[in-house]
Amino acid sequence: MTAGLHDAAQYVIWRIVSLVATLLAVSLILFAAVEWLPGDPAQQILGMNATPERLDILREQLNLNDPVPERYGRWLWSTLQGDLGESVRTNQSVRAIIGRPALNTAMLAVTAFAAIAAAALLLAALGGRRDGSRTSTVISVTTLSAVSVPEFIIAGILISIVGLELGWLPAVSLVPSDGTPFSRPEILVLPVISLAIVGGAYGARLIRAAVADAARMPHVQAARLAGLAESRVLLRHLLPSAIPPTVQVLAFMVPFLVGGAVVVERIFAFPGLGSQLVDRIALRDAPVIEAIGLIQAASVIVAFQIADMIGFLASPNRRTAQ
Amino acid sequence: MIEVNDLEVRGSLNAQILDGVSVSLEPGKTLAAVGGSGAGKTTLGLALLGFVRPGMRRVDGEVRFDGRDMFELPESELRRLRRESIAYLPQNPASTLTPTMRVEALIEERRLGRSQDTEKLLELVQLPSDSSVRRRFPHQLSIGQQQRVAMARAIANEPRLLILDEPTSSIDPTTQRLMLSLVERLRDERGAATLLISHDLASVARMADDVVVLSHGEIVERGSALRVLHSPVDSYSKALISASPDIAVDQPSLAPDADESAPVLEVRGVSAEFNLGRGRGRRTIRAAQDVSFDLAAGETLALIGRSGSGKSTIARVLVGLHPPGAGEVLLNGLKVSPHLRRRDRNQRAAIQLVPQNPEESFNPRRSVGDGILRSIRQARGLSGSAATDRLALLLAQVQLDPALARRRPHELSGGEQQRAAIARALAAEPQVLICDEITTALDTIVQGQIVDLLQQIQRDTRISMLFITHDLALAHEFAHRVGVLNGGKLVEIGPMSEFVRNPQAAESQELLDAAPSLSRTLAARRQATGETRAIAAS
Repeated sequence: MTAGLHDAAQYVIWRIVSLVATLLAVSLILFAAVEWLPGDPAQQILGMNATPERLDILREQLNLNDPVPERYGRWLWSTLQGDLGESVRTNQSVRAIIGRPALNTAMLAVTAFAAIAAAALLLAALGGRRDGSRTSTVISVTTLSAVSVPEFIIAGILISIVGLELGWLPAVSLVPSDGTPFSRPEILVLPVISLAIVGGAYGARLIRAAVADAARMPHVQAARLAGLAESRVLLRHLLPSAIPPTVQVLAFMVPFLVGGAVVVERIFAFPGLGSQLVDRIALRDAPVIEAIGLIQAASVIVAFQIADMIGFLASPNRRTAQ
Repeated sequence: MIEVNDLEVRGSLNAQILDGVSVSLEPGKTLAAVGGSGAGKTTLGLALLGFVRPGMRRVDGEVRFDGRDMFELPESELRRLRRESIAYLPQNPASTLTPTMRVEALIEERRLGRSQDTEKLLELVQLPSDSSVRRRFPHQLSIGQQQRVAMARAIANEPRLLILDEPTSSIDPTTQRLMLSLVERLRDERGAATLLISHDLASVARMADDVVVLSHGEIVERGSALRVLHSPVDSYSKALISASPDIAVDQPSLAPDADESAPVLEVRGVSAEFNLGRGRGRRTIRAAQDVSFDLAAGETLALIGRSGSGKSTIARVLVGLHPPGAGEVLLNGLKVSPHLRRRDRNQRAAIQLVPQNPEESFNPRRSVGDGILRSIRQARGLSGSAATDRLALLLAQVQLDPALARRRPHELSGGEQQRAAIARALAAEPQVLICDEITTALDTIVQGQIVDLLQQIQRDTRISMLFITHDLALAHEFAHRVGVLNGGKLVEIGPMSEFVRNPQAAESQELLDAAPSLSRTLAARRQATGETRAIAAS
């Protein structure tokens, strides 16, 4: 068993190394992408009437005249030290600009993720238990229709019916200046539902397929033919084999939430990272864009690494040596 | 104890799987169900568990266990019956082990109050009962050990009914003997009834009291095992029994009309290894060690050995898929590259492989005819009508209906798939045909047809064949020479007729002893029953 533990430790270390390497690669791509955005930041800041002299001075202040690799190196170095730099538009520190929005988005995303996971697992269990039953067909059709509608349309429908027509819930999700989204939980309901309908349906379909695959394995049939209680067949023989693909599906919900949050936050005027990102791209505020992009990429990468690790720990044939 | 009455099961498109089958099983007796693939044997076995596979349905009939119809029992009662009274071992027993559970948990969950404890069960299947096995996951055991754990799991409830579905097909001789002794113990101590599903007629002759012969879902003959296997009445039974290879039946002395002067293929001191696992668990397997042999034109050399003896590795070395660590391969006296990519077109064409599983080796989305055409184009550079003419010739040579060649691989039967795979290999006009366990998945009648086909092709084309198999009795029917592999070493090589009479290596003797022989087993049982009668009479 010590050999098994050793293997697991080795695996985790290797995972962390590859996580760092991936983040480095992402930071490079992010920096290059912002670099190649059309337009000149100095021009943007000073407007169309700026004189060439003032533009030159500003470019020098923003270090825009330095070679690109050097600027990337400097940015990376300070980022590693926790210094995200300052906005080129307001001279506020990036940390101050994105602190509150990051917290707001985290609360939205965590709530939405919990809702998605609960909906997906419940629907997958109901639909996957007996292939071809009426429940299974109904769930299959509804989830397919939910997957095919984009979340901004669902959000629009929810706003107009639940928010404006019925007036049950706020149509706009403004966060009180002295609080967090959790201090006014009602503002989270519609954004979370918009995200959870699409994500939950998508996840339910994939998890259901993973459970159905596991159910077809010979050892599951053998367990049923051995007369074991159905609960035991499910919990000990079937579901453990479905864990690795299921956590992969759940990890896929993180990039969905990162992208979905941008759209949904915009629609509900929710002051989160997504809204902030859209604003700052319009302003060509490179340090803020890069910081938000890095946070988003890091959360996606970490989610997949965690999913891989859970999958690894749940598979004895990968975890332990031959 | 168990009565199956007029059982009728249909599959997709209403295909008849079982057609009015009636059998009864008595305590302490063993009933064998024999027949070709698709005869409905497995469906019958599963029906004794009150189970019909998804995609099939029971149309009529009943299965009575102690008088109660299993198909009418409430779910909980059926489950109790399976749990307390029945054991089922499918074709690949190791596949019943859940990979996420440890050995002790797998055995423990099947135990009942009256059962032996886990330690005793492990001893019964001749596994160490300490934590070296108990705390392991199935993948940490050898395949033989996994099969033993599956057996321990099956007998943990001390069943009154045992259903064994082709139990010996994937099991080595030692484990087979263990399984037989476990079945006998349950029969004698618990009065268990056994249904034995098998195409291995020798083991049926050894174990069964009665036999039913199934063909296309119908019982075509039934009777005592000795009577049916010795003097079958039905024509299908006769064909089945005569197709069964028998090591003890003398073969007409096979002398290849090979010219002894220059071998087509020479293997010189080949050693090969591969790595299993990763990280610290990584092990290097020495799959071949200093293997040397020749192959003459028009000759068939059988390479035999247990699983893991290195047979397939040698095939892969010859076709250039596994570069050996040492040694060389000569074709017509000239050295060929160990790497397939560095061999020229003629060298590649000259050595062709027919793989173990033909269905997997064809593109599932294209017709098998397309697969053969591709080989014709690549190996011989033919195209257009020249290629289609060649395809027609090849199909005729392997006796495959051209209409079947337009189908996709999964739409063909196992025997048809194998014929297509042979045609694809012959498309390259090879000098050497390597057949790697090509009849393992086929039933004995179809196996006999494929072997006849290979012999005919050899007579017509003087092709050399390397026939890799674990089935010595089959190889004995048509190979000129035989090589025995054990742990990667070629321990003996020589003419088949001499080998059978006078094996040199210990491994050869063991393989000979384990080789099935219906005639020998029948003779032994007749003698045994004769003696019992004599004792009873005195």
